[in-house]
Amino acid sequence: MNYIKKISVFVLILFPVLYFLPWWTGVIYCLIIGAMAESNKSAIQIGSSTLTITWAIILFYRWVIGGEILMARVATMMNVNNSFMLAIIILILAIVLGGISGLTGILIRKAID
Amino acid sequence: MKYIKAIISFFILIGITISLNNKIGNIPPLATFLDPFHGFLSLVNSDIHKKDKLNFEKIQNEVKLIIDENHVPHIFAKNDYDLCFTQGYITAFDRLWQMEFQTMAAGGRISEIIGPKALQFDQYQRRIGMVYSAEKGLKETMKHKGVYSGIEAYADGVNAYINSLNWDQYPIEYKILDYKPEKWTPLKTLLFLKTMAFSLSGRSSDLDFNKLWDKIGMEDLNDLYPEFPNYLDPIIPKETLFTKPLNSIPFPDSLYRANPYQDKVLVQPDARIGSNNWAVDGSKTESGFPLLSNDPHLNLTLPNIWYQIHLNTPEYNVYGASLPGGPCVISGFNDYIAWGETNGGDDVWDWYDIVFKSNQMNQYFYDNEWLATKKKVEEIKIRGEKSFIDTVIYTHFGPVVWTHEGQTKRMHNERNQSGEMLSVGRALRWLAHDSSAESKTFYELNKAKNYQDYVDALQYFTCPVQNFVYADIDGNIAIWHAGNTPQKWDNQGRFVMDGTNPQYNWNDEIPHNEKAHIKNPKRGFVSSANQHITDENYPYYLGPWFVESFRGERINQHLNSLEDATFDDFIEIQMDNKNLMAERVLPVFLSVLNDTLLKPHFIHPVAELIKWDYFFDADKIAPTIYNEWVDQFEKLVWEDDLGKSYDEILWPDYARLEQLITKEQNSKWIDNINTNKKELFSDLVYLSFENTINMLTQEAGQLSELWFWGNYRGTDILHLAKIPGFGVENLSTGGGKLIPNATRKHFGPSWRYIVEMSSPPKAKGILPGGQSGYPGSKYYDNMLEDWRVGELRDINSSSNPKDIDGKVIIINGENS
Repeated sequence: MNYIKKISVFVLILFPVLYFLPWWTGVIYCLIIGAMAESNKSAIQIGSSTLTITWAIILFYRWVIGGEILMARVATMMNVNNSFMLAIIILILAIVLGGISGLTGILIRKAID
Repeated sequence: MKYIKAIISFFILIGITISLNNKIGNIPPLATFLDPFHGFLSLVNSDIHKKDKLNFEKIQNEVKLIIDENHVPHIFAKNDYDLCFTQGYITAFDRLWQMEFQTMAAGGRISEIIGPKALQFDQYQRRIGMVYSAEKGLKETMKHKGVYSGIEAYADGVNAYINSLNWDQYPIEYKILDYKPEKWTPLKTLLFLKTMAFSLSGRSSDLDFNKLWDKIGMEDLNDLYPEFPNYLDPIIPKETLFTKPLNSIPFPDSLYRANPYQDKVLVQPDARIGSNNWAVDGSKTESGFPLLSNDPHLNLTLPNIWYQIHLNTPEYNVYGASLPGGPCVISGFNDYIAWGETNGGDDVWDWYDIVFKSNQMNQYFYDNEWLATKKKVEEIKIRGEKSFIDTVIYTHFGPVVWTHEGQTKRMHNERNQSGEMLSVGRALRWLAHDSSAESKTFYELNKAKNYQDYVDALQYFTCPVQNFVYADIDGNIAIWHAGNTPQKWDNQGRFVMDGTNPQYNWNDEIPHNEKAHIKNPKRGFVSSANQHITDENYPYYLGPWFVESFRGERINQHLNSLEDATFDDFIEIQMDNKNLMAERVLPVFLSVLNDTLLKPHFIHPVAELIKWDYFFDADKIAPTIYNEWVDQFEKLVWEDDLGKSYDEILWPDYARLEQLITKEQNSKWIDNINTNKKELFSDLVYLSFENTINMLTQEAGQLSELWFWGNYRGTDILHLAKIPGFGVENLSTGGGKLIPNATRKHFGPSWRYIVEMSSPPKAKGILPGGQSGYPGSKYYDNMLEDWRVGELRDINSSSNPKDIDGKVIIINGENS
């Protein structure tokens, strides 16, 4: 399975999980898929990509269907310049969380192996 | 090595996860909040009603709820229970966080949400007996079955909404502050009413007056703070005759003199909180029907303090502004009558010095007897810390707000000849602590059909004292000063009082029919703007301090000259920016400058002032200069004699300052007692002008658009919890203190409405914000611009739901 296909499958599974369960289930999920990766680098990439894409889909969907005012207000509250910057911050959070989770997953697997 | 790496990585991940899932200091739980699935983005479109049908077990008959284009709910129910239930439900839908937060603040429970920094505030709220007051109010309200069942139904409606929510759907403030809503109870409705009572009657100047008595003596005190000002335009026209009470009120031979320095009032409502209301009869209107206007001036916040609503049952049809937290309309109209309120200003908040028998404070001395105190243990829960326990002592006056541990007072009396040193404290007597059912007033007003119904409804109104303006479809207009102000002797409660002497005790309230009122006056209008209710002819003492007449006088100027009045004329009065004090004071100031050699950079500012028409319009420079000039002059006059600032000690009001400027230029108050030189009036005028220009130049640079009143002062309508980005700042507004358009930096007309009492009535209204409390909604602040420029929106109060366009939701019982 090539990288894109792999990520797509992971995102398809993660999306309903995160729709019904709290955000930290995404951390556990990325930890598991990270454990299945071939290298540390790949684990980080898979974890961060999966979580970030999943978050991005719902983020942009909600932003577009009526979240413009709310995004702008929260951006001001968080002292970032605009909604776009806020979206970037949210996605960076997903990259970091997914990446660390994936890395932790593979490191735990290696320790057990 | 691989184990160490795995363990380190695992613990880092756990650490990050835990910290992003929890609130740290002021920072919300970041990942929980930013998570696009369940965080703030899950609230997108939460202001839109997605369902056409709702079912609730407790609903008895079908209810039709229509949400119109302004997001105003129109409720058509077949009985009171369903009506109040739906009002509670829909108010919570739009304003849940606001309702709950305000009641938690009233009950001294903010520490539960934000931690120890709110402890002092919470303790003060408990000490002044907010919950005690609400509990007594609830008990009294329970005696009025219809009213209480309405409050219960409202609570059921709020709870039905809360129960329909999961974490994702909690309003954004819960997500930011990381807590969740709790069950709504009738006590919360009473707490909300009491917090309004505090805002409108909780201002206390007793300690200030005691300090001033020490500082300048009684003669000067009476001169600077007269009960009636030099110029007066009271609510009930001058020379009105009143019935004298049969019995005179006994008063003490000499006035008790307390030590005012040890206590500090922690929370003081704004001194200039107030409102306008007026009504003209058909002789003054184009249509021949009475017209009525009301604009309450309160703290401007988002969400707005008011919530527009239309309530209809087969029995009545009422529209107006409700308070998010309780049923009924508070300021509005039905098919027969219209009403609106302004604050009365009577002194119903007094302090008493209490002498305890011992440090245990189990008994206190009153009327030569030792009376038992009651104690109430208050547990203040603090987020992240152990609860704080405070024991509040209650006397027959009310709660002891300050106990002076370690401080004593020598007591000589019949029981204590030795003059022992005894422990002391200070108790609060507040009218809002009395058993009362203000909700009954609104319940009855909502259903009232004529003048007598209105008068009967007002007898239940206790605190805060309000001026209720009235107009009806029979052509009547009236105004009543409603509230249970006690019958006081002159100056009773002006100073801290002696809690051991029964002559200082409050007497019974002024009888209902002797409360100041007027119906269908010859002049064809009634009005109030928080000024004195009457002139000296009224036989009862109401208090030491009322708002200056300038605003009321300006409104009366309009109303006197009004002919063929329309809605537009009324809007013009609501938006009128003329400052009558400026009209009287500025020519005096300018005449002094006229005799002086001006510095070059004074010339343009003076030119702005010379051409000014005394209107505080947003696009004028003169109001900025004048306003600062008066403030600077005021400071030079009073600071040396009285104290540092208005906040530190009560300075004389603007009516007294105007008198000084226009008539008493040689007064002893002009001289600065801290200099060897004797300052003259002209010295102060010049110096204050120089200070003004220097200050404005420093703050806004050279004379430019930055000096425009709307830019320099402007208006900020902040979020209720002051969350950045959730409010609106630097709105370019005109108006100000002492002006009919009483818009200020943070206060102003919180609801403007006008109604013509035709049959059916026609009305217009506007809120400085919007109906929704959800900051992502276009209805959060969609009325703001119209409010700013003085546009009022048409109100549809038809009793036929077919006449109302909007989203229709049918609500039924669970089994329907």
